[in-house]
Amino acid sequence: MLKISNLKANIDDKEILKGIDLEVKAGEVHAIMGPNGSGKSTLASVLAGREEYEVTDGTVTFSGKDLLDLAPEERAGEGIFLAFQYPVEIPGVSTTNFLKTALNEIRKYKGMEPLDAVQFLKMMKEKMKLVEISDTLLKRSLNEGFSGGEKKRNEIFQMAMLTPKLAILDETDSGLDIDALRIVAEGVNKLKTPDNATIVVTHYQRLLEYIVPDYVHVLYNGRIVKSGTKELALELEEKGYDWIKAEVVA
Amino acid sequence: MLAEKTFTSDFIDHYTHFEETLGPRTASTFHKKRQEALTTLKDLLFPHIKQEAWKYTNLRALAKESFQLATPSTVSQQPDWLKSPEEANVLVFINGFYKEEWSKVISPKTQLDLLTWEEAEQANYTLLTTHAGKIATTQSDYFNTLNLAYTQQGLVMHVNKNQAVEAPIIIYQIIDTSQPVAVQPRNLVVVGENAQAKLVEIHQTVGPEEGKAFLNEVSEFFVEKNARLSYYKLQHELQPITHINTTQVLQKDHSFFGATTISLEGGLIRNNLNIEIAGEHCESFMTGLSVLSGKTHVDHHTIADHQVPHSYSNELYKGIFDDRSTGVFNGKVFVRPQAQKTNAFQQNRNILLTDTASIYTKPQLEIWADDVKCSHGATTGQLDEDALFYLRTRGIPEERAKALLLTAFAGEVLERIDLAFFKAYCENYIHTRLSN
Repeated sequence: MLKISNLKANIDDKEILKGIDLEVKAGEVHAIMGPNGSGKSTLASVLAGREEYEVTDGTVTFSGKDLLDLAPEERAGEGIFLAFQYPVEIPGVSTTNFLKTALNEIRKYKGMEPLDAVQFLKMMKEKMKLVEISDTLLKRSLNEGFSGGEKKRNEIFQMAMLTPKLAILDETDSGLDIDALRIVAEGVNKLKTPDNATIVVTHYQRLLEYIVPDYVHVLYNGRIVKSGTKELALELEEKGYDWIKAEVVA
Repeated sequence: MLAEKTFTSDFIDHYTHFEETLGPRTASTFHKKRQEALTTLKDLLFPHIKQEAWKYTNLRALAKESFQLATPSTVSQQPDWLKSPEEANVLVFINGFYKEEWSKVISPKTQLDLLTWEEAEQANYTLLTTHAGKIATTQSDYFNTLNLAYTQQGLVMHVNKNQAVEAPIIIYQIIDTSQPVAVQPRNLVVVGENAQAKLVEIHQTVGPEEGKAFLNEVSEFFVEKNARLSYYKLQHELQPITHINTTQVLQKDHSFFGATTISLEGGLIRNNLNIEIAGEHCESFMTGLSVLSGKTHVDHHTIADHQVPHSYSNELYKGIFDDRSTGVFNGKVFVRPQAQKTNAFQQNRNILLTDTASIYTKPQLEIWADDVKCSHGATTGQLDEDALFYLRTRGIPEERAKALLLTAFAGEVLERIDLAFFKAYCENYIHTRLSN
């Protein structure tokens, strides 16, 4: 589904990603872990198409297409979804209106008819249950004045509505209390199918107790320095990241 | 300074001609105020960018033009946009001349007196003697003085005590640019004790695209005890005329005044909106939205003058500037020494869409009382890139995402408009404009 080869990216002429290789297949959950500043969030942003990052080398193909050639909205149309670490507050745009626009733009991209208001509301009602998000929250301006937990739940709710092929969760666990974390993780698990895939970017192992990964990769200094199964996450939790750093140096 | 001197002397030299057009009105008591203003005008200097109040609005181009005394327009077909709701009082003026066949008054005389300035003057209507020229000063204000000397037509309205007028009063001020006319309307509104009214003023133009004209309007609003006046102004002049206006408001105890100014098109626009809050427990709202393109220049100068304790004022002006358009915002809040427990808030927020658009913003708080709550803020920036990216990652194309953000930005002002037809007109226009 997703194939990243030797991906290098800069911001302000500083190289952050120094040659990433990663392959994600349908039905898989990959966790990307690593210390602060290792390039985890950069990788997520580059995949979503943030223009501040300049890709200097490498390729990314997604469902056979050159992802790097596509605008962020086209990537969304192809089925990429990024759950933001810091979801943006947008005053004056209600979550409901925004989602209806987004959903119908994605449907248009795929050559599907737009949903009418009745169909949309029906779908929304179903998906709201997944993340236990309230009606009143969705009528408010997008993320404006939402608590941290509400913002993250709203991200997963959007993911449920837009049904991406590949969801990238960028530190979705940061700042969440254990109840909110469980709700968010359960939402993600319920959305899992054999046809879609998830990349979980996280600093801590705890989220992975709820969203169990098939593979764990350790990103350090712009490279994936170690890959393994979920046991690797436990090892990191126990020993911290220093032994990885030591290994890299050696 | 030669052009500026000529501009003034032109008006002085042609005064006899103007008086001839007034006919029997020269015998009215109000006409004495005109003549006094003419005398004052002779000593006043044409505004210059060296004066603080005109620092960012250069009138040099205006000074170089010569204008003629307004003559009635020959436009006979009612424009499409002149569509008012059924339940409304409508007064249409073209080039300052009353267009009776396009106007209608539906509210009963028991609720209010609604006259044209000419009618009021011919009837020696009391308010012209007691109120006209009382609060819009001529001492140092060039354009107020010019307007008073040349007052031609306008609205005179008195809402009777205890009357709530439900049908809005809508004034259309239309300028026909077929001739380079100088049009100087004047409005006088008194909302009596415990009375309520909604007043709408719509500025439009007809005639050749590059036609020149000069509109200089003065309005005086007296809002008596417990009275409410909501005022909505739409500036939608397709021809690049020079439009200067002063709205001077006096509020008494427990009164409400709200002004909404929507500026969409025009040449050079200067809006002076001054509220004297002379009553306790007053509420004063000033709301503005400018959505500009081309070379349109809109200058908002506002004053909320808190003279007594316990009143509240709230000001929000927003602007979206495209192409080479420019905006000026100078909002003054005065809190006089005795005006304790004043609450005064002011905000000015702007988005510049191009490198060539500009905004000069200057919030100004002068507080002499010590027990008050006041705040002000001004922001200017581009569209929020993070918000744009967020929307795009959800599949919304860039242009549509921009339109969505700008519409939301404008929405904060539009949603405050509590007059359905006016709100719908502005929303439709602004949504269409921002989507293209």
